[in-house]
Amino acid sequence: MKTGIRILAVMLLAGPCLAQSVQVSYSDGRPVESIAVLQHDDVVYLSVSQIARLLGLEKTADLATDEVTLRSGSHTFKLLIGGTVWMLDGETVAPGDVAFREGDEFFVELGAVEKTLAPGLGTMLRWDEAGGTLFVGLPAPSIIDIDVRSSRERVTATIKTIGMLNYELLPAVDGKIEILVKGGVFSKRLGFDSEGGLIESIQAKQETHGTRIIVSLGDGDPGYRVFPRFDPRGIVVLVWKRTLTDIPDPEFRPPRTLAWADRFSPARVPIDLIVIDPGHGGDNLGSVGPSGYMEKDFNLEISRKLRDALERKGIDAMLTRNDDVFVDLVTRTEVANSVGADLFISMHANGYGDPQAGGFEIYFLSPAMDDHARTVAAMENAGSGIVPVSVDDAGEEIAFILWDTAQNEFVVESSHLAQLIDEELAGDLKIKNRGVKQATFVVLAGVYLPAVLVESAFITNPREEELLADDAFQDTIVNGIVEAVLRFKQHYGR
Amino acid sequence: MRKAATVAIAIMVVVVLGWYIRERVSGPSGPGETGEVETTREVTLYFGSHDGGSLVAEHRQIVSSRNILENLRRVLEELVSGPEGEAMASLPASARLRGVFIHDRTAFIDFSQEIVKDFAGGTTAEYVLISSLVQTVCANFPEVDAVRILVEGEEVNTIGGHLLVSRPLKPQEWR
Ligand SMILES: [Zn+2]
Repeated sequence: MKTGIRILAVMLLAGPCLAQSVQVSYSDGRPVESIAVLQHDDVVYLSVSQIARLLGLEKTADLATDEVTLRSGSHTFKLLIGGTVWMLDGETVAPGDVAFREGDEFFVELGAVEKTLAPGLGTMLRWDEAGGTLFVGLPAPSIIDIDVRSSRERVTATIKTIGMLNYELLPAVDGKIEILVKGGVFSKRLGFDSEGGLIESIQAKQETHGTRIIVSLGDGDPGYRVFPRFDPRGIVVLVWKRTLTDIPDPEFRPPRTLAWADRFSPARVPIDLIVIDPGHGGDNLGSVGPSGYMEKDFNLEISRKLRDALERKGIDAMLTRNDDVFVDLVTRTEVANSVGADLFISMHANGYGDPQAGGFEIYFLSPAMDDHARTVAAMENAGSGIVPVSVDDAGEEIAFILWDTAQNEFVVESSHLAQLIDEELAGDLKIKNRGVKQATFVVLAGVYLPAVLVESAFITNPREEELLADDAFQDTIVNGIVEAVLRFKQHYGR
Repeated sequence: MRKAATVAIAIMVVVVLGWYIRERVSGPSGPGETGEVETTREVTLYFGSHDGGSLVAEHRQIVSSRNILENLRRVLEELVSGPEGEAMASLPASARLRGVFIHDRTAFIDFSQEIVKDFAGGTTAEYVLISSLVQTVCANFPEVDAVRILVEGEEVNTIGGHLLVSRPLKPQEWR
C-alpha cells in the first residue's frame, strides 16, 4: 500500500508543480492574508495544515499509519491511506483521486476541500478563481448568548450554545477561569461586566480552534464550578461566596468530605431554582396503562406544565429531560446537584398488578438504616476533600453512604415538602390519598437537596389512566404542587 | 462487592456440593429406616395486598431439609410461584431462581434476568416485590438479617427503575 501511495504522489508531482500565492479573505474580520499553495495542471492543492489553520480545525496526524484527522466540534474528517480513503464521522465519502501525501504532509485538491471537506465539518470555503481569492467563512455562531443571574450568595452564568459543545476547563490562575470551547463560534463580541460582583467580567475571544471564554472572579476567592447544562443547552459557570459555608456545624461532619456541602447550606439560600425530573423516557416506558398511555409520556407532560407554572410564579425550573429520551439516573441527580438547585421534584405515575389499585402518594427519601459505624469509616476513607458527584461503579457504595449521612440534613425539609404537597392534592384530587411515604429511590439517592417524588395516580387503573391524560386533572396536580412550593418557601422565609 | 459476591458464590458451591455428596454417601432414606425422616415445615410467605399498600401472609407446608440453603431455595420458589389465596403475586412468574447463598448473615438471592425484563410495574409494584422478598426470607430464617438481590449473578442498582437495591435490604426498612 505504501508503494502505491508513493507512485501516486510521484505521478502527480511528475509534471510542473508550482508554488502559487493566493489571497485569503475571512468572513469573521480576520485581516486578508496571502498564502502559498501548490498548483499542478491548473489544479490547486492545499496542504492539510493550511486547511486546518484556515478553517479553524484541530489536526492530528499519524504518519506511521498514513492517517490524518481533522476535527471541528462534533465532526471528524479522516484521510486514510495517503488520502485515498476519506471518512466523515465514520462514513466513507468518495472524493476520487484528489489527495496525495508528500513527505510529512497531505495535499488536497481545492475543489474537494470546497465541496466535501469543509461543508462536512460545518465550515465554508470558496475559491474564486478569477480573482485568485479564497473566501473562508466560519459556521454560524454556536455560542449565542451569555445569561447571568445573580443573588447575594451566588452567580450563575449560562453560556448558551447551539448543540452540545465540547470544552476544556483550564485551572484558575489569578482569579481567572479559562474555558476553551472547541469549535465554538461566538456570535457577538459581547461580554459581561459587574464591578465588585462574584463574577467581575466574562470575555469571549475567537480563536482558530474555537472560542476562549475568560471569566474573571471577584475578590474573596469565591468557589466556582463549570459544568454542562442540558436544558437550555449551554455551559454553566456557577460561582459562590465561600464565607457562606465556613460556619462549621459541630454536629454535622460531611462538609469536610462533601464538595457540595461547602458550597450551599440549604437553610441560607433562597429557593429560586427547582429541578423537575420527568421519570423514565425513551425505551424505559415506566408503567403502561390498559389503553396504552405510557408513564414516561405523562411524566414529561406534567413536568413541562409544572415548570411553566413555577416560572409564572417567578421560580426558575429546569427539567432533567425535555424529550422522549432516557437519561440515566445518575445524570439526573448530577444535574440537580450541579446547577445548585434548591428543590428536586421527580414526577411519576404509579403501577400495580391489581387494576383496582389507585390513588396518589408522595415519597421522600428514607434515611438509610446502615450502621453508623460504616458511614463514619467510609467518610474517614474518603478524607481528601472532594467526592466525585459522578457515581461510577466503584464509587457507588461509598457515594451512597455519604449521601446517606448528607441526606439526613434534608430529610426534615423533604418530608415537610412531601407533607405540603399531599395536603394540597388531598383537597383537590378526587382520588384516594395514599399519604406520604418513605423509600430509597435511585434517582434521589445522589441528590444533595430536599427531594420528593410524586406518584400522581395509578396508570394501571383504567379510570385513573383516563384522569392522568386529562388536562384538568394535570392542572390540578400542577397547581397543588406549586401551592405547596410557595407554602414551603414562605415557611422557611426564603 | 462483586468480588465478595463471587467468593460467596464459591462458598455456596462448596457447601451445596458437600451437602450433595453427604446425601449420596448416606443414601436415600427409605421407609422404616431409622436415619433421616422427611419432615415438613410451615413457612410464611408474604405477597402483595390488593391495593399494594401492604403485604399479606400465606402459610404453607414445605418439605424441610437440614440444609438451610435448600430450605431457602424452596421458600423462594414457593414465593415465585405466587399466592394460592386472594393476594397478589409479588414477583414475575417467569423469574427463575438461579442460586441462593448466605454470607455474613445476608442472604444473596440470584434471579434470572426475567425479574427485570418481565417486571412491568410502578413504584408500588416494585416496593411490593422487594418487601415481599425481604420479609419472607427474614421471617422464615432467623439466621438472616438482610437480603441482597442479584440478577444473573450480578448486583443491580434497581429492578424497575425506581428503588435502589444495590445494598443490604433489611426487614425493618421494607415493611
Ligand atoms: Zn415511575
